[in-house]
Amino acid sequence: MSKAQWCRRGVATLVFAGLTGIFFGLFSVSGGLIRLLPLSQIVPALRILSLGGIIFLFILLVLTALCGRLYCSFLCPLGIYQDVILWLGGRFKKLHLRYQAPLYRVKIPLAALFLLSLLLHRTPLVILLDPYAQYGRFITNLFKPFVGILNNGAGVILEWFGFYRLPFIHLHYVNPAVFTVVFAFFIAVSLPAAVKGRWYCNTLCPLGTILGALSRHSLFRIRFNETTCVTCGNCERECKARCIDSRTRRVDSGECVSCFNCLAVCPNGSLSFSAAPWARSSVSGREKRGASEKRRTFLKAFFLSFVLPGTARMSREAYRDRMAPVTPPGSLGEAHFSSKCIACNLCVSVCPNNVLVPSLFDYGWQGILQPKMNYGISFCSYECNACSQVCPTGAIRPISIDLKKTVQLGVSFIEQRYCIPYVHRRDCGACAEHCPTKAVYMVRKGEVFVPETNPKVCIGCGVCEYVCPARPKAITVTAHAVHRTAMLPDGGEAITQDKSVTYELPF
Amino acid sequence: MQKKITRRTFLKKCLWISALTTIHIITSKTRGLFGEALPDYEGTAGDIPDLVGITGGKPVAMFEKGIEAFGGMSYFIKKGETVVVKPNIGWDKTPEEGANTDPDLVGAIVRHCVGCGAKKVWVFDHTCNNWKACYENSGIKQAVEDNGGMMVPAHAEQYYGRVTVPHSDVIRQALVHETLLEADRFINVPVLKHHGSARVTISMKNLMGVVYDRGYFHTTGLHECIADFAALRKPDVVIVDAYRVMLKNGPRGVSPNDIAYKRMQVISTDMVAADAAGAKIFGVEPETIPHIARAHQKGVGRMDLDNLRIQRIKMAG
Repeated sequence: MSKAQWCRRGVATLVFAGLTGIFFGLFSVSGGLIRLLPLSQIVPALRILSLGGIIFLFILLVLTALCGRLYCSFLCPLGIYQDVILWLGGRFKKLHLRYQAPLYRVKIPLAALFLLSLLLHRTPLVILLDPYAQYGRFITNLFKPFVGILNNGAGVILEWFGFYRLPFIHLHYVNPAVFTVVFAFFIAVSLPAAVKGRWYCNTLCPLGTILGALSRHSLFRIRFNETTCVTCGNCERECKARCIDSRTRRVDSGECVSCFNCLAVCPNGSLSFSAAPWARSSVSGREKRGASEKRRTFLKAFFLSFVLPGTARMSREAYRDRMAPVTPPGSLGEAHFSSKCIACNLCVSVCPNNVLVPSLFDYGWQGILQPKMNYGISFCSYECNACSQVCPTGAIRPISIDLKKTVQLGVSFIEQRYCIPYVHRRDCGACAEHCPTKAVYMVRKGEVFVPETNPKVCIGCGVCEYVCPARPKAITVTAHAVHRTAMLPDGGEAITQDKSVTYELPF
Repeated sequence: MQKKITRRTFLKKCLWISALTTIHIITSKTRGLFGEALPDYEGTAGDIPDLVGITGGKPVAMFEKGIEAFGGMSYFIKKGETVVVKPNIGWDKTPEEGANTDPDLVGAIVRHCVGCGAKKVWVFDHTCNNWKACYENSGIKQAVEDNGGMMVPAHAEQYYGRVTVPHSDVIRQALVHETLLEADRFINVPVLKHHGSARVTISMKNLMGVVYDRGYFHTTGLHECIADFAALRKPDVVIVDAYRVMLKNGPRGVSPNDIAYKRMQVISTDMVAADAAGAKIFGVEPETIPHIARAHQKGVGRMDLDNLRIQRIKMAG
């Protein structure tokens, strides 16, 4: 095994384990590792556009132009995941991969649309195709529930024997519709990965295409030594990107993911990763024609995609009448959140109360799978800012806990027709009991206490809605389109502590 | 061949059945079949007081002084028994905010139970906030585990078993934590607090933390359900933490401004008496709290403190 291969496997293992660990909550939320996350992934770095992110992108572009698609093999979690699947598949049955000509007809329009939607407006394309976001969704919606079910099963068995070491994990954040969408993509990535290697990366992944356009003419690349090559075909069978045509001794540099596996299997060192002379002179007339065709496809797709903003507007108007979703604290409001979020669902994974759930069409079809607060199943913990600490795209800005306590996501409204003390003249008060700021408080009305609200201190955490025992809910949170600032709860006059008190028992 | 039932045999059989039923009702202890009768209240015997009020010390010191009036924890806990200690851990708050039972007090109770040879000491609460955060930040998890107790999760339905609540027309069934159903002894360790809808929360209200489907309490009548549920399983001893008392904005509290330091504690074998004493410390008359009055009426315990044997202990400092 070559040094380059070792280096790749080392980095890839670190990145993969680190990212997976973050999603599984193995590292603390405030850990420094999470801060590196947007510095290792392309789309989050593009979305957050922090100084670190821009530097990372610049270095990555230069590296790609020099050495090929290093991101795909070293940093991309979905790419590494496919390598793992291929490796597992190879253990059952020896695979013989064969060269496949790039599917430009699919690749180029997708990449063009992707680029344009990154720049101009949001479409579900970025959310659905970004490899990092996809891998995050696999963990949150598939792997974590799977582990959770195993844990809960084992927990029940331990419970019979009086052990409580494996506490129950609530999985009600998993939404069947979202599960189905994510599972479809999971199959679309995993099945080809097991038998065809990096099929997703070289067919659907827009990042693969864009980086490939740069690495096509990279300075360093895999090259044949035509005089020593014996055309044994080992490299072609080993190439998971299926970019080596051993018979014509050609490597499609644009498709190569820089895994360096071919170097290790070449029996006589005829393959090398080395500086190439400028390739233009070697391009034949037939290839030139192919290139101009590609350019034409790209331009066609690029101009066609200008139609999309119109459709986007149409859909926005269609859903204006709907109940707007509550967005997490730090996200500033629906517009900002929805324009930045790529639905990697990391916030869903780290939310200790599982109040954040992936939605389907709550943000319109462009915001498919973006998370929202679901007060039907849980509420936002007053002392928690976990989601804002992990968001790699800046959709949820990092805010301190003190600031979070004054961010008003929405306000609660009481529907007296459903409220138990109003209707049945019986004490209830669950909402006021749980309200952290006393925005819901009880006042005496005849024999019973009834709830009233003070919107000035309400932060829209949704605990009142969550605990309300009435059906339909008598108190609900209505989202603000743009988050507002709540006043700090004063809680009324301070209890004065009498210093001279004698502590006499009153009975 | 089919035997025909004549009028005569039918009447004979009816007589037999009614006779057997009468004998069964007389011989067995099935009470309340035709009424709502509860067993008569039995007070403590001999020199043991019904209620001990302690004032002027730290929670742990007051507990250790007060429990001596019963001759130590061994009065309640025998060797090899399993014990449930139920503090109030409802909120993700620090001990100083007075929303949860004092962790040192819970730790001391667990230590005494273990010292009496208890086989297992389980501590849990069906928390209002995130259960892990509540267990950790209240300091109770640390205190319990340091003293040999075991924190038990109570955040999911699988930890609860369905039981029938006796003698109640408002609450018939409830999901109650399985360790409580299993345990030999039960110690209730509430913290005295203001409560927006129950007026005050002391020992009987604290029992809502052993119930999973407690939304039912709110929909059906909070006070009635609290009082009736209290008859299900009476704790062997109640220790009311009235050191820091949340006088308003309860039960969660908004800031430390809601707290008054009363520096008191009540230990009793009677939940209703403990709640009556707690209400007086809080500054309200027990009769004005509907669930205390109802529990008294139903004979769960007694709120007429004047007729009880009360031992008052004043500590220096």
